[in-house]
Amino acid sequence: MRKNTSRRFLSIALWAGAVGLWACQQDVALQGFDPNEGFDPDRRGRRENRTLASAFETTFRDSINTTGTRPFVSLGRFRGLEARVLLRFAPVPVGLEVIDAAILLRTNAVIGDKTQKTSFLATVHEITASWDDSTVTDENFQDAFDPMAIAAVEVRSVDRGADTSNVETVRIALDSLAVALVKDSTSLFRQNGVLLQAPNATFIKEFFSSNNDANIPQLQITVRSDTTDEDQSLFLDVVEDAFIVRELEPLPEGLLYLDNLFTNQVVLKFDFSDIPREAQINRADLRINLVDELSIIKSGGLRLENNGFALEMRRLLKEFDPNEAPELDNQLTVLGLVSTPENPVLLPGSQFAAVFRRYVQEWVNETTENHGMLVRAITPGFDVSRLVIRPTAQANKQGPALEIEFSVAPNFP
Amino acid sequence: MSAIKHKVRSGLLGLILVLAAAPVHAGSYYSSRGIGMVHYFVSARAQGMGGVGLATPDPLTVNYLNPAGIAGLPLTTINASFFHEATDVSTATQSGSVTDTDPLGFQFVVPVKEGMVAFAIGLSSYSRVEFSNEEQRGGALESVTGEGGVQSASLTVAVRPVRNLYLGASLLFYFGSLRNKWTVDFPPESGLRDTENENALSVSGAKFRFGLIYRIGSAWSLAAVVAPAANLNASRRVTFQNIVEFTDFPDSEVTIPLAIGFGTAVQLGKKVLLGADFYTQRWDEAGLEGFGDRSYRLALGLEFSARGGPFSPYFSRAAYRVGFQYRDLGLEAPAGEKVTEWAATVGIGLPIKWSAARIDLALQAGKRGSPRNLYEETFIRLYGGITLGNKWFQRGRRRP
Repeated sequence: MRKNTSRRFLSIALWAGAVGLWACQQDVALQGFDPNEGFDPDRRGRRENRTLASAFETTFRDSINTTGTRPFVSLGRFRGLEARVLLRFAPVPVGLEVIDAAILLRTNAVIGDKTQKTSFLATVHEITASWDDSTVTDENFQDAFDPMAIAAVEVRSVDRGADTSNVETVRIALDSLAVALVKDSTSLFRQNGVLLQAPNATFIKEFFSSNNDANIPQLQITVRSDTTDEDQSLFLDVVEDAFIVRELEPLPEGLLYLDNLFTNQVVLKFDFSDIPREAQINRADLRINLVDELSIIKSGGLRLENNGFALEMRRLLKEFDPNEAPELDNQLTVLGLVSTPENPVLLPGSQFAAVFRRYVQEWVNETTENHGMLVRAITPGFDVSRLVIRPTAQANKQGPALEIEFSVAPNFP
Repeated sequence: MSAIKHKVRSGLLGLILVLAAAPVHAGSYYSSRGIGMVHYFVSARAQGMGGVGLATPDPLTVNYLNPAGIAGLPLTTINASFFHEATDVSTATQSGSVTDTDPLGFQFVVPVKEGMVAFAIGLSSYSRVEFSNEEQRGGALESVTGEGGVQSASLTVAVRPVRNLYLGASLLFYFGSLRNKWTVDFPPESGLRDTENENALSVSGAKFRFGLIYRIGSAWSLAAVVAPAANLNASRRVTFQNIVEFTDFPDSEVTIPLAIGFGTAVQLGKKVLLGADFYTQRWDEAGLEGFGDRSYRLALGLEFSARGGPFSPYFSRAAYRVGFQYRDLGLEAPAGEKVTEWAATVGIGLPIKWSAARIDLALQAGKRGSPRNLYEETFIRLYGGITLGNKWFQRGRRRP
């Protein structure tokens, strides 16, 4: 009886083992999709790529951005822009005898044609009206400064170079007349500060501002102590600073502009009617070509993320109307960085590729209405950077285009 | 005699082991056509006899294809069946394999009047799609996979109006989806988002199936089933990455065509049952691409019941089955040649408790298609079913 039971269990175990062995085999798919070998071609989708020229493009600007809260101030001229610096320093402590003074600026970057080693003469002027660095712009400042320079300095087209620990200091020494203004608590220097300008510059030099923890602009004063009769240096931090920028000549019409200062923005819209609605977007890139001789792209700043031109792309929730503020989709934002003017430029880059692909995916799938998108700077007032984009109308196949790769769903079933 | 039985049992087990260890595998390329590979499942017991079962009622057999088969069940009966299939697919230049395990059906039968009237509800698998193609090119792996199938839920009533006649009717609710998955896995460095597309056709609809069994004397049975054609509503759905879904396509119809089957069974002595079934369906009228002719299935089978008593050795209480079936799928795709299938089966019925419960197992091996059809498939299927009977819901006899 026990022998029979053992045999029965052995049989069951063998059965179970056999079934288990059988069930664990892995599937091996047939290779290839050759209809001549019987594959039903309707079961396979197709992969395609397309380059879509923009169906609508325009550029516009609204109010000028302020710069007073940004980490840099810019001085000089480049590609039709003039940048001037406004500085106001902390008051000189009461009771000290100032015998010497100098303005200290620390360099972040040079914005210009890097191959050309040159310099410009910067002059210092007393500001004649009060200003607020949170609101001042070239427009409302209205040249409120004394044209008579109280100091001058030669500024060279060099920056820190590759050594990030080496920060160049531009020292603007003040002569005895200017030192007298520093001493006088009622002077325009003390009340309103100074303006720095360089009307003959061929490049722009960017300095750190008061909004940068280190390397803040300072007024260095040498004072004589009443007790020890020894000279002593004091450093008075800047308390308000900004840079104001104006366009020396109007920009050529017909091109597309993006910048940090003048709120130039671009609206683009693409027509997806040629792409099947049941398509899955595998890749989507916005391709633009820059007008190199008009674009201003900073490189060589202290922190790498400060280089280039940072932009954002947002979908429009309704058709663009130049007379109304654009309504934007704030749920999904695509960020991009243009760090060199090498054409063509593909946006947005790998970090935001998925979000941008989703824009296009939803437009193609018609789950979101396609009103186009707005492209604008993400760092208004940050620096003098500017992108000038070739438009479709003027550029043979070099206008804004959408490069997409997509998969079209099979016909089956 | 005992030694012979032992050798038979060992041989059966050995055969299963050899087949299991062989590089066999399934699904079917041919399931990529129409609504997939249709199961003509009668019962796990019948599968051991090559699929013969239209006219072979017994107290522990729940018939899935002939509704009249449940009329004579004496007990409240539950049956659940499954199958595992492994298919090797080969073409002139390559080979592949697919395995598939699925439930085949579940039925719950309540005899309202013992041996006279019975009701049943059930679920069963009607067809199955299972195949896969892939290709590696330029670092990207592209694949097309077919999945899904059509299931049916059934409400059955069966009666025995006269002593030798059993009649039954089933209302069948068909539902399910036929899915086609297309994927492209791009290499990470390409920066391309992978393609994940699923096209599905969801079907639903109802139809009837009628059946009868007529006994001529105590040893001979005749059976017939008919299932009129019915149109199922079909709606298409396209999905990307399981996120974007399109359903706003115009509805269409899928036809389940007329099916007719005949069967007969003869009891030879007390231990041997011999049977044959013929079943045909007008797939040529379904309007499905590739189906140019009606399908038919011819099955022959034999069952040997050892009929051992309650105190006999275990395997002398089992039933042993063999059978053979030949099937024309009605399919002429992809090469324009008829696709046929043959299979040999062995099976065993193992009582769990004397006369009230049984496990039926069947092993089927065969070949489908040929080089002329482009795809030649060898397959092995394991069918399993468990049937439990009890006197639930049945009133005791009134004392006079």
